Amino acid sequence: MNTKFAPRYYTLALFILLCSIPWLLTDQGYAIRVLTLLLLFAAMAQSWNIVGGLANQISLGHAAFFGIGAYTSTILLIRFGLSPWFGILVAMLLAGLTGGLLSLPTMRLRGHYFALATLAFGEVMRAIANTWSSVTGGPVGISVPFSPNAGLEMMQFKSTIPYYFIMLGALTITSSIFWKISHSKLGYELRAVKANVDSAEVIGIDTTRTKIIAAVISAALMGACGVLYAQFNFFFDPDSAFSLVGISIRVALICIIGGIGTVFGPLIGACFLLPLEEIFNAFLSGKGAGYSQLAYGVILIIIILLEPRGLTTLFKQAVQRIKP
Amino acid sequence: MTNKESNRILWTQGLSRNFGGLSAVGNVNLSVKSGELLGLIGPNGAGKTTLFNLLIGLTKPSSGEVYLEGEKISGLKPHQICRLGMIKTFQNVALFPEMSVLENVLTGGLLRASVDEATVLAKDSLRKVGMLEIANKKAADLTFPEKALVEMARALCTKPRVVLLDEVMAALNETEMDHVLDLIKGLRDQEGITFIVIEHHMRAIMNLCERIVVLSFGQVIAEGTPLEIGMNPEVISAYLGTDTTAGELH
Repeated sequence: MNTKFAPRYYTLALFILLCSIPWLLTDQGYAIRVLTLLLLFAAMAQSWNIVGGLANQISLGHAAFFGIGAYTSTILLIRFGLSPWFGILVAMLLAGLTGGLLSLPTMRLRGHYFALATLAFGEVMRAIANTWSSVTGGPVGISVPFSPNAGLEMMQFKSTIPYYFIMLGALTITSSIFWKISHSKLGYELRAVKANVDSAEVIGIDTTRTKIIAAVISAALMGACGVLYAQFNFFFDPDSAFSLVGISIRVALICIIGGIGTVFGPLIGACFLLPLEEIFNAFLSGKGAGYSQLAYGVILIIIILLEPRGLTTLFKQAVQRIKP
Repeated sequence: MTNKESNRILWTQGLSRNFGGLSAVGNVNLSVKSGELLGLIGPNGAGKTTLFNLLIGLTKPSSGEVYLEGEKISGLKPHQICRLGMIKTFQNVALFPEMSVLENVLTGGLLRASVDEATVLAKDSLRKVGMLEIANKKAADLTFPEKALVEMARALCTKPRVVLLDEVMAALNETEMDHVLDLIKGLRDQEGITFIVIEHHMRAIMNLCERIVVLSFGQVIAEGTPLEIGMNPEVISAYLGTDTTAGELH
């Protein structure tokens, strides 16, 4: 019984630690800002994990849903003065719908072909956002207007700390949804689909429906993260909101490095990758262009070669070795 | 409707499938009685697995129809056909390797039950095939005979009326085979499940089946009791080859 409940205590301890960080790091504005983005990226990676981890469909186009979310709530706020709390619902609806529609032609694709098709879709969305200036503002980007009655009801704060807790909430919610799904009927169905589509069909699983539902949930959560990013950053343009490298690939990498298909993989991956990026940028960017990316790439390759199942597995193996 | 017709659970009409110019299954009219133990034999490449795939909807027929309990099922997807009560096991066993044995089997129960109910059903199915003691093992770590039995348990968990077994007894030793033969007979007798069995092992098929259908080059070339089939010259030539069939191969 003890071992069964132990993970619960670890999770609770981790949650309390994450909640207390703003008080442990007072007057560390930069660190809090990095951690806030880290939590957001962990939440995004967890959204991606539903399709990437459970169904093993490696999407490289999740920036599409992120961008749809960011633009939807911001345009609703600028044009109609609607609170982002309402905008987030519309954003999730639109992103979820897009995710569902995209899954119709792509669900039969496997492996690299699925990755390439989703990658192309993300790039198409970026092109649309760049050219459809009357709605998106085009390549110059779009600013979230600072509301005079800033505060919780407009999801706007002067301090970084409330954002930190919003992102922590996002990670908690996406992780709970991931956990719930992986232990539900849908989770078993997704893992069956991942292992063998024909065999899953034959034993009575509607594989088409299963894939669509997962795609919709994953895209909707990613859209919500886009809204949070817009409110946190106050400015974005098509190239950042629909970024292939900055969003799509990074989110997939966080999950793969951390441990694909595991509930803690996204947080572990984000805790590893984002600070690593910061450190390399700070120490190597002065040494010449490209050094930081080179070193970053080398480390990722080493981890994948060492253990393709990611840091979660490496960590578990290390613990097993230490235990008597 | 005659008595014979009302008793049949599964039948096909002119079922055919071409791959390119090749007729993998041609004009097969199959009729299976409820609770029957039917053997399907034929040389390699005769179209036995293709016929199974046509029946359960993994392959779409080029022409012809399949009926299950009076309902036309050709054109339906495999998961819909499974819901109507027909399932197959795969020739090379298709378990989900990362899942435990119990999880594999309970996944089969999910089309009619919740996860908790399916877990109970799964344990029951595992007990029936005698694999309950390995319920927590990972499917990837099983031996081939274990895998075959677990896949049977998973099929049982969907509560089928008709089960198609594609060489479930390949690679079993004599004792294991006797166990599976008793199991199939028991399931037919106690639960009224109809079985169609593809098998190369002649002792198994002669011992188990009440009727045998012989396929060769996608056509039904003979049909009858094990005794009749064993003495049929056409069947013998299909297996051993004659000048004409050998000529067709080239």
